[in-house]
Amino acid sequence: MALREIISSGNELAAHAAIDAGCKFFGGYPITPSSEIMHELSDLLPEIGGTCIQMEDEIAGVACAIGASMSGVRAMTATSGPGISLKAENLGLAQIAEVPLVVVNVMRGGPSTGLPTRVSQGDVAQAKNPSHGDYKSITLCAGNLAECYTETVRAFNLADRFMQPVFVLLDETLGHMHGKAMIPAPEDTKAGIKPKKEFTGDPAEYKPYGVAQDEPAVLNPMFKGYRYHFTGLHHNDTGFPTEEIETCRKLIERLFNKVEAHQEEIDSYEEYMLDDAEFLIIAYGSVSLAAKEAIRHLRAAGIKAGLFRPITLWPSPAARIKHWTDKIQKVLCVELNMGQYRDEIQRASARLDIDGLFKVNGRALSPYEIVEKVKGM
Amino acid sequence: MAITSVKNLKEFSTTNERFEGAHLLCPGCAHSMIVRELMNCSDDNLVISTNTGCLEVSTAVYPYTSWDTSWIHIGFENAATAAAGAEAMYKARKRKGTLKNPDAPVKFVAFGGDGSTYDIGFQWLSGAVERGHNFTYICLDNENYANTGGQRSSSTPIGASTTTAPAGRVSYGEKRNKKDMMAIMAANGASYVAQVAPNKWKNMAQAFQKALSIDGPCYINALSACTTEWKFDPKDTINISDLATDSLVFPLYEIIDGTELNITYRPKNVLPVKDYLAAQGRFKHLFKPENAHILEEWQKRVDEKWEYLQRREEARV
Repeated sequence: MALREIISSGNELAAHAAIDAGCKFFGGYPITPSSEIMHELSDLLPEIGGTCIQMEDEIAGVACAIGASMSGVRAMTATSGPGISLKAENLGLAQIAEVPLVVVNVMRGGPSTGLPTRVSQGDVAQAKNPSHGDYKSITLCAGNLAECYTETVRAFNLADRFMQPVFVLLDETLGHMHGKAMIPAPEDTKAGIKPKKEFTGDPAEYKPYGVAQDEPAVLNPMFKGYRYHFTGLHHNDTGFPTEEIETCRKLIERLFNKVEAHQEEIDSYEEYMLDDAEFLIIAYGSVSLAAKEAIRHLRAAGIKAGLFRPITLWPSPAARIKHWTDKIQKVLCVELNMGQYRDEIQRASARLDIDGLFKVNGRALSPYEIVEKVKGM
Repeated sequence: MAITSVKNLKEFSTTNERFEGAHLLCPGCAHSMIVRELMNCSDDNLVISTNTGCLEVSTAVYPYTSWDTSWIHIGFENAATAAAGAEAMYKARKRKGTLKNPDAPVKFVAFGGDGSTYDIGFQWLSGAVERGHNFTYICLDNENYANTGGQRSSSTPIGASTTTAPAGRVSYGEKRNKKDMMAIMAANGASYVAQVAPNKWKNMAQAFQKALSIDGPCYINALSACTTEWKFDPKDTINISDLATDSLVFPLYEIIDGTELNITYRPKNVLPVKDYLAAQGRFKHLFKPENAHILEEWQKRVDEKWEYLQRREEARV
């Protein structure tokens, strides 16, 4: 694949990824530190005949994007943690009605208004369950500038494949970082788009939610003569509300199964200098940049450390985490929160002795903090 | 010093300073002029709530504060709710006799920008006004989300170029006309609504004092020229405000109990709207030949609005 060199910021790269991935609609609301995504798309979308709407609040921002997606186009919204809190109800609607959507969250310090202009990874747990009820989140986390582009593209493809919202987590550091990135050419991104499944048979036979227990709904684009119903209520195979016992059970189980049965399509992670490692560092997002730098310093000092970096955070690459935590005794989870992902590492590894280096003051972690921590382990 | 009426600047300048100048607002920002005047034109205890926005982030950066009074900030959208809650608690405690000083005059004031007033805080403001809380809501209307990078709001006027409604090859900028919050708040049941501008400081002080003296919800829409996003020299804030009021782009009037409309300022020489637009970078592109129709529409709408306000004033309905 031909890569192109581009100098840009994480937020702008996410916006360009959306355009290259075929996104035609953006609905959003101003919020630091994600606003540049909307700024960029308000320039780019009109030029390709798409629509970028700034709505009256965060709730309307996600709701109009869900509406656009229901009609059949690729749609996106972007925000930060407080925005996700407001959008939560509608994200639940998109989960149960199986509406594909890309939601970029450029994380800042929380809870509440928190630290609007400072970095954090405090929304990792929220991304797993932003709304009430049972469903299985898909959450991707960019770890460098290039991934702000590639993970946004992947999110569009996964959203269409699994018919549900997909989160892309950036953080303030990545969103506002300016630098060089090597990203795929637009043609290659376009060539990678897999068309959404569409039912082409007799409209009378069309059962959008009447699919196998491990498959997502097949929702045809609107205005093509296929009749169905969107609802936030439990629904039957045509999408109409029901309280029928078996139908309700199967619906919620299918929302889990469709993701769990195809986890190999979703898993993504990076393994860095792990083969001979005696220290396992687990980090994701912008923190992984500091972790890699720390590992180079540690190795120069004769300490064999390596990095496991989950790129898909939810569902977690649990089997791979277990593989490494079985093999390596000393494990350190480094996060800009109070250990939200360490909980998952402990669950996946079935170990309660995972060490943590957590920072929640809105400042980035320096490699030296990690070096010092590992030396003291 | 208790003020019952503000006669001149000299007298006004002797009032207590209740809004400290050492804040982080941009040089030339009209927010501080408006807030300072509101606070200085009352000697009562003020309980002030503020939405998230330029005012909030710039006036209370620990360990400093500009607010020589009780001050609350909760979220982007709920200054009206905070004021309503404080006012309801005050009433309840007064009724129960648990206030230390029940006879001290207290006034409840909420500040919001146009983003948090016209958009995200709209229903919260509407609810507080509908419930009839005794408070004054002041919108510092700078016609954009200045705190988050100059995005459009539903107060942004047609043709303005903003970061999310940019002018360029495809668009002439904001496509919609400014939302009429005065009419909405009057219809919402506000006891008093008024539009004010800092260049007409005496008119503004009168409106503030009237609002604070009325027992009921009051709404004031204050023009706050934004040097950063409107793109003019910081020294020209008052000049730009003069152009806004004298071209009737921002007419000054009040509506009492939803019906009685009074025009509170009539310019001696009405200026053309294009003089106001030409003074700001955000409208620069409107002077290209292909956008001439926007200029015409602007003037037409301003003329129509002025005609409407005069008729409403005469009709007394």
